[in-house]
Amino acid sequence: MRTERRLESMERFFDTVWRGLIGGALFLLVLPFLSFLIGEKSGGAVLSWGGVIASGLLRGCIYGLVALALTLIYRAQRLVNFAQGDFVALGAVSAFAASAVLAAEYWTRAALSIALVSALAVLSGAFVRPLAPTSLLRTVMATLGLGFLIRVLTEEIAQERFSEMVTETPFLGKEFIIAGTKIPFQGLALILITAGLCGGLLLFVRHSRWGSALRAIGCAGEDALSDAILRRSGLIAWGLAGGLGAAAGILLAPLAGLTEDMSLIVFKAIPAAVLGGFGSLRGALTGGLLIGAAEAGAGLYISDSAERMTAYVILLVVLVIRPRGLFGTSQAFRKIDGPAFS
Amino acid sequence: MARPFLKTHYKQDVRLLVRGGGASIYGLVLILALTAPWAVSANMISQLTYFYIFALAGLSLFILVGMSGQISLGHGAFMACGAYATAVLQGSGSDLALSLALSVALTGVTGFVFGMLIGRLPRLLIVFATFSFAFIILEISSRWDAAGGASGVPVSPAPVFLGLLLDTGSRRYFLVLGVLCTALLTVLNVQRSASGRALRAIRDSKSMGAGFGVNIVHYRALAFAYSAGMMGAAGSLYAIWALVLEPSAFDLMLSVSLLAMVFIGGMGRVHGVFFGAAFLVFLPEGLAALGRSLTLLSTRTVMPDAVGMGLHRAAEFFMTPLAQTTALGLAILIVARYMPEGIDGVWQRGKNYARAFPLSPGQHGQGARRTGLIRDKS
Repeated sequence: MRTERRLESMERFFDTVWRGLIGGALFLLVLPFLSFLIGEKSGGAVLSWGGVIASGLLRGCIYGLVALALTLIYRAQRLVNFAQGDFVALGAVSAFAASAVLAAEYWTRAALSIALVSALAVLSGAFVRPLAPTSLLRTVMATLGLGFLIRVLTEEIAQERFSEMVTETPFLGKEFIIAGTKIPFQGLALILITAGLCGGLLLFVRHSRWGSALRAIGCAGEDALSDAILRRSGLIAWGLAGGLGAAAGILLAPLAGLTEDMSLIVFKAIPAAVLGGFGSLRGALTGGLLIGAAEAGAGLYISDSAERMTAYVILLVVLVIRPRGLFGTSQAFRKIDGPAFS
Repeated sequence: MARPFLKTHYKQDVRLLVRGGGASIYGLVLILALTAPWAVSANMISQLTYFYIFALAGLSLFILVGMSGQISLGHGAFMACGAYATAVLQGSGSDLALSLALSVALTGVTGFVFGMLIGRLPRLLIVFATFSFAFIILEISSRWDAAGGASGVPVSPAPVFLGLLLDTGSRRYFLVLGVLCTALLTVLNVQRSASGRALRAIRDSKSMGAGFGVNIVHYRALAFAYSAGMMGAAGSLYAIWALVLEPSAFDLMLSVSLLAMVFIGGMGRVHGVFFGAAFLVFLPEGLAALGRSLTLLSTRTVMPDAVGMGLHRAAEFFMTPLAQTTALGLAILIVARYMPEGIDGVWQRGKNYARAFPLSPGQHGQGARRTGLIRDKS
């Protein structure tokens, strides 16, 4: 019986790996065509339709990562982490501020920053966790309050030198040329790293012990929470979300620049997660890519102003027409729509 | 009044003041507020006006969050709507009373339509819808030329209200106080009317409310309309207080601060709104005063250099906006985790404790009442 179950589990594991490999191979085949499009830039302005797809893909990856982090926490604890954007900003600032203090390699600094933000996220999770079953208002306010404190920390680290901060990476400035088109390495690296992170995350959630604990909490809510081990493993979701957020920040900063408003990205990731179906992991990623593409398209064909409003217009339309999004279930909000106050 | 929320008779449910015996205290507060312009400095009057505007905004959120259970992260947008409507109408030379009424009507109708659209959603999605709405309004107001774009739009410093010229700070103070009192009466009346009970029913349980025949979407939209209208009035008054409107004043930070204000103050009773508004409005002053006293301490007393430097740096930090963000964040976290009923809840608990002393007040003061030492007034 036990052996059977283990065999079944291994079979599922290899099934996932296999599908991932096939998907990755297809992706790699398509990649040259995509990067062909990434190169079409002149004077900072994206001109071609292909460039729009590329730019949408880049920002879509970032939105997808942040939305994924939000979804992880939502699945584990039924709360929306409004401080996620501040994790992104803190990750970016601590990775690039460290270059002034610490003569370390890019990868070392990135790893340190991810570890720092993960640890902070776990602490935040431990603080917010008891509030989750009580009331929506308390969790919303608590995560917003945490966001305030993390923002103060970020600004203390940055010391108002956001714009001067060096965002050197091993990829930046390098490009290779295929068929006469320049392909910036940074964008390519972003897409590949995102794909790797998402694949790794899906494998983790589906096949590891901690991943199944996470899914158990997501399915059974408070019933699963009665088990002390499971209760603690809800914090894994926070740790992962913090790490994903920091990674997104580190990848985003060289492309978009470091600004104080970086933390507002959570308000772009939420429309992405809702479009994909709030609570669904693949939905979060798909939604991110779609929102990114829509924004890039609106920026090209309408105006900058329209570009900034696109995500919110899409969110409102989705909420009015189909609140459960593309991949979501109508049950996703069952637990959270209880009484308003404890 | 040891058990503030327990009612034993229908008459208690429709009384204007939840606590019947407090009329004299409220009267005294009103007299103090009315005589304030002759007693304190012009700067203080301006601060008080600002406090009243925020209390008005807090009352608006009290209806929405405290009574109907919907959470809005986008009420700054309704404030912006009211403020810009007033600025445009004032620019065309109309009477302030008309501008105020039109602003309230505009935001109220917008709120009702918006509430109808999103009323059927789960509450979490309502939060998302409100901040999207706010971002869209913010983007429009920073692009729209009639609203002055990103550089802002000036408002006439001497508005005319029903033929009265409001050219001094204290005259504007009385206008704001009047609007605040009207809004307060409205909230108290909504609270004790059938609508208020319907709202409370769907706040506590959607399915129970629906079971009793409350039309959820209609009442949620109604709460949104009341709330948005009141926020429009707050924006309108903010326009004549600030005299220049910049889109950046109505950003997400304002919406979050307003929500934090009512949350910190406490949602159980209207009183919480005033506690919260006082906290938010006088927080910068308080921190600056703390910073000044720390500076004094570090210069006047003899202490090791390291400690002195530390105090000095702390004092500098208290003067910065970052210190306000820190204080607000800490206050939110403390309230969320340890005192969910806010400042008002602590105040009431303290009162019960003092009444029952030396006995323990127990849960809602029951322990002491059983001994007959305190009598339930209601």
